[in-house]
Amino acid sequence: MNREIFLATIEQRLRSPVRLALAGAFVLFAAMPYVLAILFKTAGAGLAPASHGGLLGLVFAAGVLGQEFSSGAPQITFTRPLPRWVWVLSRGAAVAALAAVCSLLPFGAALLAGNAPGEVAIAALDQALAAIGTSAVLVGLSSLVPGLTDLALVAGANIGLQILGVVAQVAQKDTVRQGAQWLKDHAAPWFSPTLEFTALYHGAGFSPHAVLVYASTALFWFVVACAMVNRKELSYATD
Amino acid sequence: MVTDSGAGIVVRNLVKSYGGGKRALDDVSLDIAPGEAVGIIGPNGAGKTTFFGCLLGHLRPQSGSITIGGRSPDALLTKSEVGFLPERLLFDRWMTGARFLTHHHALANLPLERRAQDVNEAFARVGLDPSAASKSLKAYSRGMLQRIGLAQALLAKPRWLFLDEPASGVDPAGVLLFRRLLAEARAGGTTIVLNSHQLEQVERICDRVAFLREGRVESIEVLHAGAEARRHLRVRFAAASSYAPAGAVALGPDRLSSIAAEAGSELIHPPNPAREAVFAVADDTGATRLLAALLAAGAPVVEARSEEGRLERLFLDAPKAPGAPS
Repeated sequence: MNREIFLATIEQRLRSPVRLALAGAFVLFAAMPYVLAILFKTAGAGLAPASHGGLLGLVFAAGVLGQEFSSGAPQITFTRPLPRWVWVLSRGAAVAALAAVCSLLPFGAALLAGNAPGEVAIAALDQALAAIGTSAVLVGLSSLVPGLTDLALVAGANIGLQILGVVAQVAQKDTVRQGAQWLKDHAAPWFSPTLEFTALYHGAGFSPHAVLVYASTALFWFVVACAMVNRKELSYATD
Repeated sequence: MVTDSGAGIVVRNLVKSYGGGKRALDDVSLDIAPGEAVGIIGPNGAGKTTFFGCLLGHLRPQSGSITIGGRSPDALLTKSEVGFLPERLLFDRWMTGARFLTHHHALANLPLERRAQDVNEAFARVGLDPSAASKSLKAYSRGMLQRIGLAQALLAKPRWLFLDEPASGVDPAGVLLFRRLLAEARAGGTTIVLNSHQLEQVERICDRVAFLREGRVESIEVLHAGAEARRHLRVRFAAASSYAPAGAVALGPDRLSSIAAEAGSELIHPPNPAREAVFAVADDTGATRLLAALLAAGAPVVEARSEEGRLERLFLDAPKAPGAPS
């Protein structure tokens, strides 16, 4: 991990007005039930369902590598004594950390609204892990395509998963229904790795398999990114 | 792997193709000694920037080898000794000038305690106003970007300096400053590889030039050595029947040659039917001395003009590729 790249990446992301506006909107939206509970004195009404962690991952990690290559900035960075995989790791860690920290913010309001600290902590952990998982996916996809095309890939994958879900519901043949469902169940974690500890908090059993799937998916995308960046040529030749 | 720590830049049989199979570099070999300044020149599409990309480890050649100081261009030790100014200034434009230099100071693993001082000195060295330090790079002019780019390249006092069109967009004062900074770097032992279309700059800075055409090293010229390296002065004499200056006399090639030698110049081409002779002179002073000597000897000089530089002659004399614009 390179501290300078890590800090510069966080600074870069925080200097983007569009990213800040989107992140602010998602955080506010997630915190709104608790803010309203405080305002209308209905404290302790329980935790609202949340999905902002993944969205914050999208906001901060989109184009984390692809936009850099499109801008051409690595031309100079890669002449410095910095292994490319360290550059990938540092940039990926920066956006994942930023998204994870921002995903915790609404839970401050949840605590103020009188929710049980243990329950809030578990829900916050779920969202932070979703933010990190989504960031890992974006890091991997961003190494494959230029600019912000990684966002389009994620959107395309999600649309594909939705279509599979519909097919799994309405297909006439059992084999098609089961096949679509199987494909959806196995493809979804590749594009939105999550770990849900909330169920564990409520008495469900701990699933080492879920942890393994989450960790291996995040690792897979980081390895993809490192491999792609390592072999990437900076084709700026215009002579 | 270190093969020879004292070696310079050694390029052997380099081949680089892009999609479609056309070779951007075709069996390029070049040796650059430590401390030497070498220019890479050639027409557009000659492969100069591709060659730079390979030297910096940004592009991977299909075959051949490059070692810099005995190491691979990709080695971290090599990179810790490299400075690079790209032609297209694709910096992190969201940064301020000071943040940009601080960023590269940190990436170069230079001591933290010297960071602020080094960055301030770098600004001063390239003639940037201190107020530019807090300005966003987005607000920099092309010339300012070029200056901060050079400051970045020189920040770690590189042993190997790669410059791609360094003076592009820089005002005349900046060009002189760049030339002085490069001379200082050379005096400190830095090896310079310069890619530029500004032939006068190349001629003034470099010891040698490699002339690339269609991906091949067509020739390697040694500058600053021999009569060919000097400026050419074309002198036209009046016809014996038409000139009027009192005392003017027609001089033969032998006499012109001896006058030139006495004035520290050299007769390259004796007078042709158009009565034009070409002399090699060292500089402006040499030209003045030669003309004074010719006039003193009674030569009927009616015109003297400096010819294009050596590299321009190289460009003009080189055979053109089929289909190339004239």
